[in-house]
Amino acid sequence: MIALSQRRTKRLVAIHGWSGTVLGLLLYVVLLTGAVAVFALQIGSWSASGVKSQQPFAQPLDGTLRALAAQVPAEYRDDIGVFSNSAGHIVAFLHAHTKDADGEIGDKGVLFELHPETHEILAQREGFAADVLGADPWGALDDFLVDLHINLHLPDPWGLYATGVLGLLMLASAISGILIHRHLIKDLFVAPRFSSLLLNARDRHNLAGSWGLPFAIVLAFTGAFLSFALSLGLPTVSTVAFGGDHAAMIERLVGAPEAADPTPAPLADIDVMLAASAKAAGSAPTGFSVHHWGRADATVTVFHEPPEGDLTVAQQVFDGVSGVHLGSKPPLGTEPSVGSAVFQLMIPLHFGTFAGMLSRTVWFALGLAMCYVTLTGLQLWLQRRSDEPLWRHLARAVPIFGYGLPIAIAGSGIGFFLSLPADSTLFWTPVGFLIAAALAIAAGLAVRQDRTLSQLYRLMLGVSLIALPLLRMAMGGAGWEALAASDNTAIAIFDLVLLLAGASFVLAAIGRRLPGVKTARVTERVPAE
Amino acid sequence: MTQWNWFDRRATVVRWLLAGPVALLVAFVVMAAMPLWFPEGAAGIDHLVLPLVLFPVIWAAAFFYACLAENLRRASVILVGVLLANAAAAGWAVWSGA
Repeated sequence: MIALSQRRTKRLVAIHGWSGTVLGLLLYVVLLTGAVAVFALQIGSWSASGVKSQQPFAQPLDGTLRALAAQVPAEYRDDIGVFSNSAGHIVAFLHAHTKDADGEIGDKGVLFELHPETHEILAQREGFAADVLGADPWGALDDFLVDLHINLHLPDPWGLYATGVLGLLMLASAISGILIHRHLIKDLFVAPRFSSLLLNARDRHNLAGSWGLPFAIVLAFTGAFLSFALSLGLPTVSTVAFGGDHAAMIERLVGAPEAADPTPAPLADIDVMLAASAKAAGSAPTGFSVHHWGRADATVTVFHEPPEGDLTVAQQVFDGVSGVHLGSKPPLGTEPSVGSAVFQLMIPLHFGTFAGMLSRTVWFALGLAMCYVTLTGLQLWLQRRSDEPLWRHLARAVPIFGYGLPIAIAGSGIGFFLSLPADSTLFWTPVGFLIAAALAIAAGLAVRQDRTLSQLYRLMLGVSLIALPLLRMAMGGAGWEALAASDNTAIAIFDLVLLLAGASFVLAAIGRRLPGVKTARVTERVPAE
Repeated sequence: MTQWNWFDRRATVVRWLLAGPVALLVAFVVMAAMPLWFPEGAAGIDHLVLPLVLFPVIWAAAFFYACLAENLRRASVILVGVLLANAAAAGWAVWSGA
């Protein structure tokens, strides 16, 4: 316990309460979508019913890329980015850096989507990166959920500012939570009291909050950084340090390129460089880029996941003409540095991607715990002010948001699968979200009794979750046997988790429990203090 | 004595101003001015990256200092002083072309 004067403690309690209340519901949106976004990659693969190949660059790719490069205008060979999408298809974006209609520098070129084994062209789109990359129908669901978490689907940079402010508010709430906690260690092991609803709710809030405090600080700090770094930090620092020359700043951050030499020169064998890179990095490539294809100053940069036991990635760089391995390079700067190491920690710490499925699952669970802390904190705050009409209206919004958001997220998945055959997932995924959200809001406004509303919401959520794997298979997705045969067992596990979660919500709605699950009852209701 | 009374009478407003817009501005201008004095590091990028990373930390420090300070006058002088000093350094760098 930290000794604080009574006045300071009173101020901290006010900060803790108000920071969670003012934007508590928006914070809940960011937290829940963040917990879901932890599994963004897996959701992408699941929505595409598994990836076609676990190693998309296993087949020789050199000949295919040369054929594609010959098809596009010469300027689009300036930069080529190659990676895999949610369905495991190879995506090759051959592009140039050019000005868009607003005079901003952007990447414009042709995007090819290839089958990872046959290299058959599955789709081809031309335009600026934001348009052609965002038009991937397989990535509609995970992109929608990640964008909702990152910028609440608000226009740039306002969405990032909004989530950044929410991150700062969460930081204020978490730090004040630590400072005002009188019995932090004791609260980690408190058994919720059942003598009254209010005490029970408060104990549960303290229990979940105590375990989640360190996590909340990490999440809030990294989240505020990720939101403000690109939208506010980079432009500001580049204005002060480089007189507003963003290109000079980026050049310094990613490492200055070799001296330009436009003399025509053939590119070395890409497959040989990928194999050498895999050997040097100790893992299969996740993507690569070719800078200045067909010129004497060409370079090839190959990307890998961090090696086992390491959090930081290193890219392998090759001379594009001779194919000689030039060495490994950190994502920022030309040699290892504190700045690059700290920068690389931000995303693994925010999304829990540092130890595979285990860390993702822990992050997901802690994310859900923070959602619970936010909502119960808000309810406790509102319960104390239930005499005032304004707070009563807000109290009504808590269950609508609390259940409405997961129902709407499930609705976006239903919209995705129903529109998959018509290839219109980009339109119906957000529309599915909005329809489900509208239904949840309508139910919240129509049903006045809390208990009935709660049962209805549980039923809606349970049925939506059960519908997701059934729709996935009904719309042509692979069955469990086929998934196991193609090394996509994780997709079947995902189906099972959704079915179990859905069933438990349906059973909770009709007043039954899953076998083996016990719950205690609060026996006495006492008025809020 | 008059100034003390002024602060005492408006303590709540002053604290709100310091913890709200002033704390945010302090974090912003300290981040903006950091590339001018922070060590560049081995790769020459630490002075560009670490200000972005430290932005939430600077805000939290300014915010909680403004919330918890008993002597509001001293807190005002320190926070506004930090704000003006860093704003002047960053402004000078931009004006002179860094």
